[in-house]
This record gives sequence, structure tokens and C-alpha cells, in this order.
Amino acid sequence: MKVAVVTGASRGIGRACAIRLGKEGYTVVVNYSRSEAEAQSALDEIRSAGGDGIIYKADVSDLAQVKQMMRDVDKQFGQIDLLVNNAGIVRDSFLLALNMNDLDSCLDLNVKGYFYCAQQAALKMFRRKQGVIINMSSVSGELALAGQSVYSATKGAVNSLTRVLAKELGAKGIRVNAVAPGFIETEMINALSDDKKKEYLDTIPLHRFGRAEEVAEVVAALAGDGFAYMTGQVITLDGGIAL
Amino acid sequence: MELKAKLKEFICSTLGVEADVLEYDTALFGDSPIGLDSVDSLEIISYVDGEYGVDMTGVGKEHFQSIDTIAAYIEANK
Repeated sequence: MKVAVVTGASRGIGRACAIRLGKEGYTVVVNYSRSEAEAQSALDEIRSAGGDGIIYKADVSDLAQVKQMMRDVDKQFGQIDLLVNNAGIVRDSFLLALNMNDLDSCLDLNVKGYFYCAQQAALKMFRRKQGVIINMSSVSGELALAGQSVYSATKGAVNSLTRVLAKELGAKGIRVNAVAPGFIETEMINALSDDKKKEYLDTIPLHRFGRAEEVAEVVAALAGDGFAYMTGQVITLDGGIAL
Repeated sequence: MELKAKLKEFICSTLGVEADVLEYDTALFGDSPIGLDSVDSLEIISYVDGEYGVDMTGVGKEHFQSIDTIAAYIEANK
């Protein structure tokens, strides 16, 4: 039995990853911060597909809560095989209009939260000298989109973190990679006006938005033995936007 | 087995230190004859977490100076 912790797993890409990994046979820890009903529904879906897991409420921007979560998971299941660092927020704003509370929130969750979870999961993986960490990045980590300075900076940090951790942890049997999705059909995209959707679609060579399940497919593959020799990479999944 | 003796056994068996040169107050890192490095400290952090449930991530270097200081930290935080 392998154990996967997926942060921010109640909705969107995190939810799709949790369900996909459950179908792969992982025992999945569906981490959530506020949306308990949605986290439970994700777990129900995992169970109805024959998988299993638990839901776990923790704000991953709080180190004490992260420590407690990883400790509890390790105690209950005896190991952590996979961490999907996914929980994150978007607070788009042009620089001169930037609210510094929004900046702090983004840095706390999108960057410090990734550090906290990686450190505490790696601590448990270190003991068995095996494990996989997959960081959810974004094409915004490389592309310059006006109004996305904060989100882009946090995802650029995630890409750097991925490469450095891959070097630090490789000799200890822990692989670290990142997935960088483009526009994915989530609540954020669905809330856009038709005109805005068309504007975005026109930038995508494949001329459609991606699906969260497609991101989950890549995450599941990266976690598996088929990619046992890959570490420190950022896999872009964007329908060609970055070309 | 006593805490310090277990720590010594771990350091010798996992980090390749000769038992006869390692006393409980021997300096483990830096210019000491033992000469452990920062990567070795990760092994100690992992061992202490797994064996005693004590988290030493982010803890100051002074607590890693010797078996005595590591043991004191574990006792204080169990």
C-alpha cells in the first residue's frame, strides 16, 4: 500500500489528482482547508472507485498544522510515499494596485506552504530512503502575463525549489518534479466571460482548455516507476501556450 | 538501551564513525576528528524523528554539537 498526501485536494486539479491516485491504488490523504463537504465528496469518489483514504483539515501555510498532519499520517499509515504540493491561490493585480495582504497570502500559501509540506513529508520519506514529491507549478512560472506578477513569482519559486530539492534529496531516494499546467477548466476559467475565454483560447495552439483530469494523469505517471529516473524537471502541460 | 548509547550506536553504524573515538561529549561536526557534515545531520534529524518522535528540523547547530547535546534536546522535547 502506498500513501499519497495531496494538498488542496477538495477542488480543481488537487481533487482530480486525489481521485486519480486513489484509482491507482494509493491510500489518499485528501487535504483541505475550508471545503470539508467537497473534500468528503472527493474521498467518496475515491472509495466508489475501489480506493481508500481520509480527509484531513490543515492550513498548509501554517507550519504547526503541516507538522501535525504529516505526523498523524505517518502514525496512521506508517509511511508517506507521495506528496502532491498543490494548494495555492491566485491574486492577480497590477503592481501599483497590489494589496500587500494579498501578496503575503500568496507567498504564505504558494511558496512557504510548499516548503513546509516538502520538508515535513521528506522527513518521513528520508527514513525509508524513498519517496516522490510533485509540485504543482504553472506556465505562469515562466511566461510573463501582465497582472500576474505575484502568482508568476510564486510559481517561479516553485520551479527553483523543485530543481534544488531534486539535487538535495536525490541521493536519499526521493525524486522531486513539477507539473506546470496552462489554462485548465476549473472554477476560475468557468467564471470568465465568453469574450475572455475566446481571448485565452486564441493563445492556445490546441485551441481548448485543459482538463484537471489530464493534469492528474501526468501527476500519476510522474509518481510511478515509469519515471523513476526523472527528477528536477518541470513538465509543461499547456496545449502549446508556451511555444 | 540508554538514549546516549543508542545515539552512539546509530552514528557509528549509519555514519561510519569508529566507536572507540566517539565519546558522548566529542564534537561531531566541523573541524573535529569525527568530521560529520550537513548531509549527515539530515540522517540524525530523520533518526530522531522516527525513533523518538522529536522534530529537529530547523533546530540550531548548537543542538547537534555532540551526543550529549542531541540527547538533551530529545529529553527536553519528548
